[in-house]
Amino acid sequence: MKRREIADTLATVPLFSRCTTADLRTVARHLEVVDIDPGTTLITEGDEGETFYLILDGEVEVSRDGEVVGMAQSGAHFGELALLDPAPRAATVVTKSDCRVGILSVRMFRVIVRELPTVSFGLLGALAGQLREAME
Amino acid sequence: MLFGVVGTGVTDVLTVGGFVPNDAESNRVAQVLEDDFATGTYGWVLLLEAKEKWVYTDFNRAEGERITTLIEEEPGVLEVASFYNIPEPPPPGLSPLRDFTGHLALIGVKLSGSDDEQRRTAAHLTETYAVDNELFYITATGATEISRVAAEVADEDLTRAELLAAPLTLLGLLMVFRGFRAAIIPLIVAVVAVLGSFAALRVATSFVDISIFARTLVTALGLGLAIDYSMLLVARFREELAEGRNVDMAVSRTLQTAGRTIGFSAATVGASLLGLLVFPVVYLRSFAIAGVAIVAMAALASMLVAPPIMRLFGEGIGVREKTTESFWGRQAGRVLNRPIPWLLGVTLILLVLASPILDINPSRIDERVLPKEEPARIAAERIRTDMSMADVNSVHMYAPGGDWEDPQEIFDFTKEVLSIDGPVRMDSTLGFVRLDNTSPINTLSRHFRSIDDDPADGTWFNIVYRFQPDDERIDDLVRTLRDFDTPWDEGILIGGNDATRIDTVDTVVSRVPWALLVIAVVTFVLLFLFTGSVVMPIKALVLNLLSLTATFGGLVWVFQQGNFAETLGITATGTIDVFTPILMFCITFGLSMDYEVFILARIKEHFDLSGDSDESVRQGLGTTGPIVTAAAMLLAIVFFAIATSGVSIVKMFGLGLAVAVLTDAFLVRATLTPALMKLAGRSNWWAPRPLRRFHLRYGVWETDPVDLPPNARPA
Repeated sequence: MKRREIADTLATVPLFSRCTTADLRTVARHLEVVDIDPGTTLITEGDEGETFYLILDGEVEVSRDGEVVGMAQSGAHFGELALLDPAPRAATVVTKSDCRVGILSVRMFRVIVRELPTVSFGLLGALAGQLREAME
Repeated sequence: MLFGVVGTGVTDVLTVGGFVPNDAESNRVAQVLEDDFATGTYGWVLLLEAKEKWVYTDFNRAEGERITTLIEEEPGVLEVASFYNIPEPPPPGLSPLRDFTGHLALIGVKLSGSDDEQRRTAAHLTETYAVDNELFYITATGATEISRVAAEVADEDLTRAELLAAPLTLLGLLMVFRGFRAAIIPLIVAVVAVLGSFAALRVATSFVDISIFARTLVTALGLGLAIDYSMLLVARFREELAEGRNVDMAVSRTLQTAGRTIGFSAATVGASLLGLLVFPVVYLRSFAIAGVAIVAMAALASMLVAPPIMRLFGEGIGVREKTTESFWGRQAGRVLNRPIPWLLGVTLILLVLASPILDINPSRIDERVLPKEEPARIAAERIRTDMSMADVNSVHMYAPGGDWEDPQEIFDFTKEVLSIDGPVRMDSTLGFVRLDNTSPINTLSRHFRSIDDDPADGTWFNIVYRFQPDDERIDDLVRTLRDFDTPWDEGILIGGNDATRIDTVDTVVSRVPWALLVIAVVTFVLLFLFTGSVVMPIKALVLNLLSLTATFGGLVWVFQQGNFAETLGITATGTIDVFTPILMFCITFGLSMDYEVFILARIKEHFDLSGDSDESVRQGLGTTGPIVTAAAMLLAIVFFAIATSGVSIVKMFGLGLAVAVLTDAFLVRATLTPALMKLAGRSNWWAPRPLRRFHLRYGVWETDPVDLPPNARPA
C-alpha cells in the first residue's frame, strides 16, 4: 500500500482528524500496514504491550475476562493505554473479518505523540471519550 | 572464495605514484621536458664504490664505462649522467659526479613514462646493475628507487602485520565474548571484508588508478569496520536471545536494529572518506574510491555473512543479558554527577597533547622514510654526506618563449638569474655558466633544444644551487624564480624535484580547509538525519576535531620533533609527510563517527522511549560503551601490528591510528560525550521546529521491530 493511500485512509480516522496533510503523511511513513485473517488475536488481555494498533479496514471483537464487550470497526485503535502508562493489556482483541491494520511500535508511537500536537489532541480526545463512557 | 580469486595479485595492478597534482606547474614542466626535450629528473641513481684504487683508475674506468653504456641502452632510460661519460677533469662548473677521495662515483639516470613505468624500469635497473662485482660495491638509490623500495617494504610489512594481528585479534575477541563461537564471527567477517575489498580494488583499477598504499587502508579500515560491525551484531543478537526470543526472531530483530545502525554508520564513514576527492591528487582520490569500496564491503560482509552463522550457532553462541552495570555505565554515572570537572580536565589534556600541531611542517618523504639498513637509504645518505647532490636536485626552468637563436638574450637572462641568492650554475643552450665566471664557456648545447630542433618549442634551463637538501632557502629560491621577470611574454615555468615537492605540499595544504568543510557538512547532514538534532552533529564534529588534533599533535611531537625517535627506530626529519595525516584524518574521523553513531543510536532509542536525557546517556553508554571499548582495543592491536613496519610513514600511520582510536574511545566517548550531553540536557535534541518535522518525515529511524501476528501480510 502506498504511503499516500495510507495517509488518505488515515484522514478518515477520528484520531487524526485534526492532522494536516503533511502530518498524515508523516504518520503514514512510520505506520506498518498489514492484512490479517479473521480469527487472529491482536491483543491478549494481561500481556505486556509494545504496539499500537489502528484498524484501517475490517471488524474486530473486544473482550474482557472472557466476555465480549463490544465490536469495533475501521478507525478504532487499541493499545495506546499500555503504551502511555505501562501496564498489562486491559482487553483481548480478535479480528472478526479480513482486516487491514496499521501498527506502530511503542517508540514511534511516543515520538509521534510528542512531536505532532495534532495527534496528541486527537489521542486526548479519544481518551476523554473512553473516560466519559467508563464514567457513564 | 570468489573474492579471494579476484583479489589475488591486486598489488601488481595498483599504482606506486600519483602523488603530484596533475595541474601542478612542476608537472607541466616535467611533461614538456620529457615530450619535447627527452629529458627529466634523475629518479634513479647508481652509487659505485671502488674496491681497489680509485674510481678513475683504468680498470675501474673501463668497467664503469661498460655499465654506463649498458644503462644508456636500456628501454625506459631517457638520459644518463655518469662519472664515466663526462670528460675527466669535468668542464668547469659541472659536478665531477665523484667524491673528493676518488672512491665513489655516480651514475644518474632520467627515466621516461608514468610513475608506474618508471618504477618498473627502476626495479629492472636495480636488479640488473645494483649488484656488487669484482671491482665495485654497487647500490641503487634516487627518488624513484626510494619510493619503489618504500612501497615494497611497506607491502611486506603489511603482510607480516596481518599475520601478526589475526591471532592477537582472535585472542582479544575470545576475551571480549568469552566464547569461541561468538569470537570467531567477527574474524570470519573481517577476512571476507578484506578479501572483498581487495576484489573491489582490483575491479576499480580497471577504471581509475588506485594507489598501492590503498592496501594499508584495506587492512586498517576494512579490518576495523568489519570487526566493529560484526561485534555490534553479535552483541545485539545475544541480547535478543537473552530476552527470550527464538533464534530466527533474534536474528531478524538484530538486523532491523543493529543492521540499520551499521548501514547508517557505513554511509557516514564513506561520506567522510569522500572528502578526499577535493584533493587533485591521484593518491588521495584513489583512497576516497578505495575507502568507499572498503566501507561497503565491511557493511555487506557483516550483514550477509554474520546472520547465517549466528543462525547456525543459535543459542550456542552464548546468551548475554543487556546490562548497564559495565565500566562504561559506571563511568557515565561518574561523569553525569560531575560533568564540569571531567569536561575541563579531559579537554585540557587533549589541548596539551594537541599543542605541538602549531609547529607542523608538512613536506614529502625522502630516503629517511626507509629502515636504516635498506641499501637505497644507505647509498642516499653517503651521497648526501660525501658528495654533492647539486646536479640531481637542480631546478628546471622551462621558457616556452625562450629563443635559443638569440644567445645574447639567453646570456643576459642567465646573468640575472645567477645574481640572486642560491644559484651557482645555470645550464642552457649556452652550456654551463657559473656564478664565478659568467661568460659563456661552452658552445651551444644541443641538450637544451627540443628534439624537433624547432625554436618555437622554446628552451629550458637547468639551475644548480648551493644549498644542501633540507635547507629552507630552497623553497624561497623556487618561489623567487617563479616570480622572476623574464624577457619573454610567455613567462617561465619552474619544475624539478624541489618544485614538485613544493607544488604537492602547497596544493594539498590549500585544499585541506575544503576537505574539512565537505566532511563537516556531509557529516552534519547525515547526523541530523539520524538524530533529528542540530546540536548533536555540532557536538560530534567538535569532539572529533579535538580528539584528532590531539593525535596529530602527538605525531608531530614524535615524528617531526624526534621525541622517542630512537626508541621507535625512526629518523626525525623536522618535517612530517603531508599525505599521511590527511589519510589518517579520514580514517580516524570515520571510525570516530562510527563509534558516535553506535552510541547515539542507543541513546536516542532510549530517549525516544523515555524522554529522559540523563538516563538515556547512562543507558546508551552502558550498553554500547563496552562494544566501543572492545572494538577500539581490537583495532589498536591491528594498528600496533602495522606500526611494527620499518617504513616510518607506515609506522606513523599505525601508531597514530592506534592512539587515535584509544583516545577517542577512552577520553572522548567515555567522558566528553556524557559530560557535554549532561550539560546540554534536553537541548541535546534541539532543532528548529520545521527541521524536526522534516526529520520525523524524512529522517533515518532505527525502527523497532513489532511482533506481528504470524499470518500478517504486508498490505
